[in-house]
Amino acid sequence: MTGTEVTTSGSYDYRLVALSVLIAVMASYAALDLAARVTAARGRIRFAWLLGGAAAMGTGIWSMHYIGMLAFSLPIPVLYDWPTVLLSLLAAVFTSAIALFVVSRQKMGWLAATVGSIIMGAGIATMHYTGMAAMRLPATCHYSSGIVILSVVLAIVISLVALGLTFRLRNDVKGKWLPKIASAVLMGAAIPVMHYTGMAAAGFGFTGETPDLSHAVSVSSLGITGITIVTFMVLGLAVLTSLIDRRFSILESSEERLRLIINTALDAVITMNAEGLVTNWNSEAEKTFGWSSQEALGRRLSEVIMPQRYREDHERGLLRFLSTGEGMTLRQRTEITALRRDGHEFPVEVATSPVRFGGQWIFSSFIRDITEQKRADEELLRAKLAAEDANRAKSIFLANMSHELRTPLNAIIGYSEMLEEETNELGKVAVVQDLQKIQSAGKHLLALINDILDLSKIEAGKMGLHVETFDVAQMVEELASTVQPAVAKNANTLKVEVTKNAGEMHADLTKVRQILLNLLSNACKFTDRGVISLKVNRRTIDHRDWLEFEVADTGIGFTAEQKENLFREFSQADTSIARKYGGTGLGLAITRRFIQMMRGTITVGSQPGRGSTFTVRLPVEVLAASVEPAPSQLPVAVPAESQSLQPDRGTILVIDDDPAVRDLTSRFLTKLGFQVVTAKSGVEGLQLAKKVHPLLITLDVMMPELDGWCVLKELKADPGLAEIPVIMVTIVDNEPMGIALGASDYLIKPVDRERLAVLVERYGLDRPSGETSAAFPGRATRH
Amino acid sequence: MPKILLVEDNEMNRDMLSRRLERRGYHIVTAGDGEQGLSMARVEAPDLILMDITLPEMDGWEVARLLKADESTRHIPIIALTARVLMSDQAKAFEVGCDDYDTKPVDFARLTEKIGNLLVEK
Repeated sequence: MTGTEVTTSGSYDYRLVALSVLIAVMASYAALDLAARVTAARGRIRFAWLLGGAAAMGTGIWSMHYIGMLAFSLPIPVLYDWPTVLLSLLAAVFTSAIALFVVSRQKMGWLAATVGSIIMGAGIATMHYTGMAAMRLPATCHYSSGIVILSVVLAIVISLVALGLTFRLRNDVKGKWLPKIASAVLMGAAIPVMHYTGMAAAGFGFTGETPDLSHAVSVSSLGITGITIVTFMVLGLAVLTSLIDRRFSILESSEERLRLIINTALDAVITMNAEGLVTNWNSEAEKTFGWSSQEALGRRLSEVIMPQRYREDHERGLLRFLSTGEGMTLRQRTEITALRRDGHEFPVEVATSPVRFGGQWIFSSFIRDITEQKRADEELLRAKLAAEDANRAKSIFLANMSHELRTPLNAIIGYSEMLEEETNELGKVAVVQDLQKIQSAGKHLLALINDILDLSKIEAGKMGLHVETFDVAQMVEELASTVQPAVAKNANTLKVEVTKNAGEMHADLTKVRQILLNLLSNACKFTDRGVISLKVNRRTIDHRDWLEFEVADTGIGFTAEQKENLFREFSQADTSIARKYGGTGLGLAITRRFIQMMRGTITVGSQPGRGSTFTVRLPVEVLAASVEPAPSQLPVAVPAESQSLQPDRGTILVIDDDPAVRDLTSRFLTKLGFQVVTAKSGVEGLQLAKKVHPLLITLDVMMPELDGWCVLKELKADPGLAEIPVIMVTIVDNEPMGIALGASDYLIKPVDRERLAVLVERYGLDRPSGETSAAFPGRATRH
Repeated sequence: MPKILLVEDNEMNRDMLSRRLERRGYHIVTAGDGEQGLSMARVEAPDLILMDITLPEMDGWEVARLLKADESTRHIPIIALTARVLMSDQAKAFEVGCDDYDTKPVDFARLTEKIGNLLVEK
């Protein structure tokens, strides 16, 4: 400011100041709203939103600025140079464009925010001071440089805050209008702060000179009104457009989303109208049924996806639903047969829901091809049956084997006992000792066989529980005396402690005894000149009463690794143990199974070289029904040589009324390389026998109408068929009847595949023509 | 001297058991199959029968059933001997009318005790 001039000060028209603040708030709100639109839009639409938004916002800021200028009235007439005014408008629009661009990006880092706000602040300042420069008045305008800098800094800070707020609030979130309005008010108040700071920087000195008025215009109060109205209209229009655009885009995107969901669904999604015509057909439906959606739309649904024979029912069902509102298969999952374009029929799972839409019924169906699932189910069932068969066969085999082994053992043990007595009488001590060794080896073998049998019974699910009530102390006392010889053998001592309240127990006495006997004899076996203790306690855990038996020894113990194998069948701690201490390796496996059967637990602890402790907990009340189900066994593999396919070895006729047996048997025989023909009744079997003249017949006994025996009689009565070997397959154990009627051999259900293979090889293979096989070979060797 | 009929198809076991029982002072007659066992029981009228169950042709169950159905042999106590150790075998032994049951290989002391008991009861 220079001293020669007469300074003047202006005054504010506060109504116009208020109007300018209002416009600033409006512009801020529009900015927040527009930012959301720019963010949501892509490509050219985004560009259009950016431009339009910048124009509206720029207009708003600019008009706030001018109204603010006009609110400042000087005591001299003020005109405005319109090209400069236009320039300041451009600066406002440009600034807005920068601001919208920055806040609509995916991310806003500190750098972007800082640079953005500097550009924006500078833009606003440019607009402000350009606008001031547009003033034409008979006075000079001075600026206080400190306040100018302050105003620019304010502009930048305000811009930073505005950008941050806008970025935060740019996404349309329901119910977030309150923070949006609050930040619009904040921003709207802040912008005039900058403006009026800028104004305060200016001082006017009268010079009396006439300014250059070549482009100057005067702004009347009518002009102010015009500017205000236009500004409100522009901003209002921007917000309105933004609102409409948002509504549409939500609608559009939800429809698009739905369409995407349906089209990418893994089920065929089909809709049908009340006339039975296809109205929707997703891409999975195209894949499943082989019709493209153009082909399927508008056609009768029943004709597109249903085999001929079901169509009429479907149409009737539809009519019934439309008239009565009832439908058997609506609103639930059902399995039906569907038709593909190529005529292939396949199983599907369908869920159809009727929907009332616009006064009409439409039906939406989710359809899934379940061919694979069905096949997997069937295979699983077949595998399960085969596994059960195999397991049963194994158990029968083990039972038989143990019988076969016992017979010679009987002689070994018996003779050696007898000889021992006789030799003892003769006083030949050395021989007696040898005989005792034979005996003890024989008894060991017997124990082994018994254990195997026990285990096979447990696995076959044949081991039941025979619960009874008995006195625990008494049982333990008996046990102690039974185990005494074993204790004494390695010069051990036995300590027994039974709690006074042991009382009675309701359990399988034999099994409890065997469990404890196994543990005690193990302890004896692995301890030398030590102490073996048995402690019995009664405990209540989780409101249940338990008896706890603790068997401890001071023997060799075992390591953590050995513990892993402890309860496994046929595995002792290591092989050297077996050599040194003997034993079957089954004792603990059986012990554990018995404990499981009674729903008890067993835990072990040991330190190598220090001894081991086995703790068994059994419920005081064992339920008879708590028998462990037989563990499923994996299917026993068919021997390798029988899997190699030897095609065309001849035809075998399988006669059985049970489809599962027919299926399993024929699969198995086919694997062995035979052609298989099946008959589901005796009558059909006889016809087929005459027709195909098979190499061999397997014949079920129990069949409705014509049973196996009658079929066998008829076969043997026919000279053309009498020579064909017949293997009877039955659950009825009636061997003599079979022989009398001329059957070649005999299988008892469930059929042991291995045996079937043996018999088939025997009768089906090297059979010289014309020779009838001997009835029941191998019988003579059976005991 | 009580007379015991031993029905057992396995020659070795038959020989062994009969010799051991003879050493205990019993008079032993033997039969090698069910058919023979049936006729021997009728002819010899033993004081007790030791019946192996797994016999060819006619099995021990059948022989026992027939003997218990026959007025002339019903009173003779029968001990069934089987190498099968299934519970069902034991049940079946009593079902067909056997007086006692034991498993093979025989625990000789236990068997002689059972024989002694049945002979005393008689």
